[in-house]
Amino acid sequence: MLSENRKPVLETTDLSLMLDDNAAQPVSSVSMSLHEREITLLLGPGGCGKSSLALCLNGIYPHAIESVVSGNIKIYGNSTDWNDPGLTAQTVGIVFQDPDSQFCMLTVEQELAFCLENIGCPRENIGARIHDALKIVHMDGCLDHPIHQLSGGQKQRIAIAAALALRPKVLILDEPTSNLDPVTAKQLAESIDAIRKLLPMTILLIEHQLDPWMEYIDHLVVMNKEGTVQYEGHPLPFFAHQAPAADLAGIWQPRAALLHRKLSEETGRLGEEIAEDQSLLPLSARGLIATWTAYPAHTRDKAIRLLEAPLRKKQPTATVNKDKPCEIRKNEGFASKDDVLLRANRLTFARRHNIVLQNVNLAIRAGELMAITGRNGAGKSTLISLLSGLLEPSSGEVVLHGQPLGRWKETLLRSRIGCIFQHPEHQFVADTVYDELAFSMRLQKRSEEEIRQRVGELLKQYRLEGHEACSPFALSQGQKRRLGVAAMLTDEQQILLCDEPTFGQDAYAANELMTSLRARADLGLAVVVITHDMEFVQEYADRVIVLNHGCIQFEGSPRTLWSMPEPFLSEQGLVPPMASQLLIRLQEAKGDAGSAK
Amino acid sequence: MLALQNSKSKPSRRHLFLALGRLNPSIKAMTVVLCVVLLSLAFDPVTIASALLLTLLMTWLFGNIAWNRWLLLFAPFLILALGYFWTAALFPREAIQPDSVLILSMGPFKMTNQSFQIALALCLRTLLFSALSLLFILTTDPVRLMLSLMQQCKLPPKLAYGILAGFRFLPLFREELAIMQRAHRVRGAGRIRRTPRSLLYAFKRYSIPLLAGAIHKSERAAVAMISRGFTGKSDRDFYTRVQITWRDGLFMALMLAIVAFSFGLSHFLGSLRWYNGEL
Repeated sequence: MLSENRKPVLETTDLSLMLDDNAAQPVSSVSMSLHEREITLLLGPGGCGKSSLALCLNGIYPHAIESVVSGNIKIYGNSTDWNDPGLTAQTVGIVFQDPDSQFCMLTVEQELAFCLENIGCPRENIGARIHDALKIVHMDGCLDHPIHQLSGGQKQRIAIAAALALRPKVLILDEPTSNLDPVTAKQLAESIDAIRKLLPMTILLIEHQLDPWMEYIDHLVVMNKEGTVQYEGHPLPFFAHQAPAADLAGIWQPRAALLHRKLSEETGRLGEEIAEDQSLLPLSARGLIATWTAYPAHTRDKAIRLLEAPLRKKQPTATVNKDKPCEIRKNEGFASKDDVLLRANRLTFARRHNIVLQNVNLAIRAGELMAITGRNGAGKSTLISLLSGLLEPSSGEVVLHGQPLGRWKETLLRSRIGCIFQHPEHQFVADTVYDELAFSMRLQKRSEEEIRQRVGELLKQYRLEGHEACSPFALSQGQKRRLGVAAMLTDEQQILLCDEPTFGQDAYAANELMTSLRARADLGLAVVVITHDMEFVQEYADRVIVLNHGCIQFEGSPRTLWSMPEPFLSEQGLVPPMASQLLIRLQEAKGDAGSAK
Repeated sequence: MLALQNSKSKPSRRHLFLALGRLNPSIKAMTVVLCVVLLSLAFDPVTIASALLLTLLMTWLFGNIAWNRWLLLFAPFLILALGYFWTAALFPREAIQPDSVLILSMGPFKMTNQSFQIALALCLRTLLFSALSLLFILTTDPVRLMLSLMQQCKLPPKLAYGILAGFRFLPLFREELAIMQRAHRVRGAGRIRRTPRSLLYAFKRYSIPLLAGAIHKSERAAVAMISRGFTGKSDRDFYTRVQITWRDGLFMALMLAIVAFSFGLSHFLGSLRWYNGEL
């Protein structure tokens, strides 16, 4: 894809977007170009105008939403005049993040027909074009399926098919995989790669989860907080030289590059080659594995030892964890690490004859961070609601400190179990950020002075200073999420249940959040986290539960999970984290070398 | 229309001579409205009972509706109609003609033949109109209805597709409210006291996020529609054409025949009475 005569398909010069209040420019003088058949990755910190830029490129701004757009956009060298949205849709297609609010019809066929009718496609051709589009995304069997019954990954495929049916020159994907489990995300990335090779299609990708995509990325555009382009070019130099700056801005980086850098430092191969030759920095799992298996044997052995060390430490056996300071736990009043706080016995939950969960048994222990993972729609959120006593199980029971949840007094129960929901908006109960944080402390009848002090600390810790008087709904998405977490953490609940807490966060905020949850667990409190991110599972979790088809398919340490056979993992929708993939390959290489001798 | 929401209760597909589900929704709606208008002119139990029975027969023969579902939706109207019957029978609005025969007497309550007739007519009218409405609602797919309204009645596509997009959101709202109630419970704000002040406060607490969410969703849906090339132009070449066939004519003729038969029967029996503003 990196041939010399790259053909620019879409070029922007000094593109700026001004919303009617003139004050803020979400996009300001952006100049960039997309080349034929290339996948361009657009990166930037949260709320930097990536999505707004995407909407400028396909003419939603300024024609559908009132705004001022200056600068110009050229397609194949011709200036565009986006007066006809129908024409625009045929040139630049877009797929959005949320699979639920981007359809307007009920079945797959109706949705695609709607798109084609819009552009005035003659009736006789519509059937064939629907068929073609579905075939490209491998969904040609689901013509009559109601869209709301499809899984998250299938919905995204239909959204892509709807965009492809119009045969656009450029396809913009706005966080298409953020709601998907790792295997589905990987498959989607693969099919997008196949599509752009099959059709002459140019792709602009906006995404936080880089790992499934990295090996296909040809071109990188980085935006900064001010909405301008900070970097444009091949991805390698950026990640090789500007990593610290990217870190600071909260831009997600390929995990392969991070791991490579860490291993290089620790094995003593400290960045020499990186300084000499940028092309040695691997960006994808495949590249990482190729680089490290090619190193001499002693480096590989060192790497294996390094990789094994953190994996071993994470095993939740009492012996390994003895070196953790026990004083803290004593202060909190908890007896031992294996203290079971909450236990679920044969939990079954059915919703209108559909069995969501069946015979789930699990125990939540003090001082432990437990991760729950599994495919989309596996019943993870339902399980959390059951564990927190918000839903009544159809049969079975949840026992907290030896007493079933049903027998606890509501106020007492809420002071023991906290819950962070997927969408922070749902949890806000007060008019201002300050009141939101003070809410539960006021319920506990603490003194106003004490509340002010505690709220001040929280505002600082969660970077919300200066927003005290704002309405919680007026905050940005990342701020809302932080407020939701902060408001929940004002109570010192023994058990904290979190539903995808890092979803939609930038890298900085996500890592910080996971660190603070880990710190809570180390204090002797119990934390349960639903996540699709295996790197987080690897790094922070003591124990992981894989939930699929309403049953627990696996329970154990992350390390034992990664050592499960490949077909099992992919059936559960899981891709092992980078470090574990590399370790397995290095051990294989070692084994091969040993047998060759 | 509601049948689309849960596919679980979908009855088996029967091949019917005149499947109501496959008729043109606009013509069907027009026929039902016409029947309602014509039958509202009559005010005697015989005409209406006959029309009601024949409508139920039509629904049963050609509707392909699960009966438990039909009954579930019909039950509230049945209760309403019974209530209507008792109040109208025991407390007639109009002065009872002295020559009317007394048919029931319970303490202070007296029911005369005349008030019984009026009450029965009122009660049956309620049932008849709800049966006619259900005949339409339960056999009509919302997408086909909108397509037909655009194709036959020239409804602007902007409006029709907007309604369809909104229709998709309805179940999402209910879900969101349930999640929010749970989320507020976690915060210790779940219990709502029954004082006007705290009720108002609770209303505010739920309505603002719901409305904010609705605006957000509708914005995104609108952007998605436009990015799929939707302009609202009315010269569309529809992929699915909802046509008018001889079956639609037959359905209309059958329904009008039911009306005519009912009036005829009542006239023949000498019980026909025109509606005269009774309540």
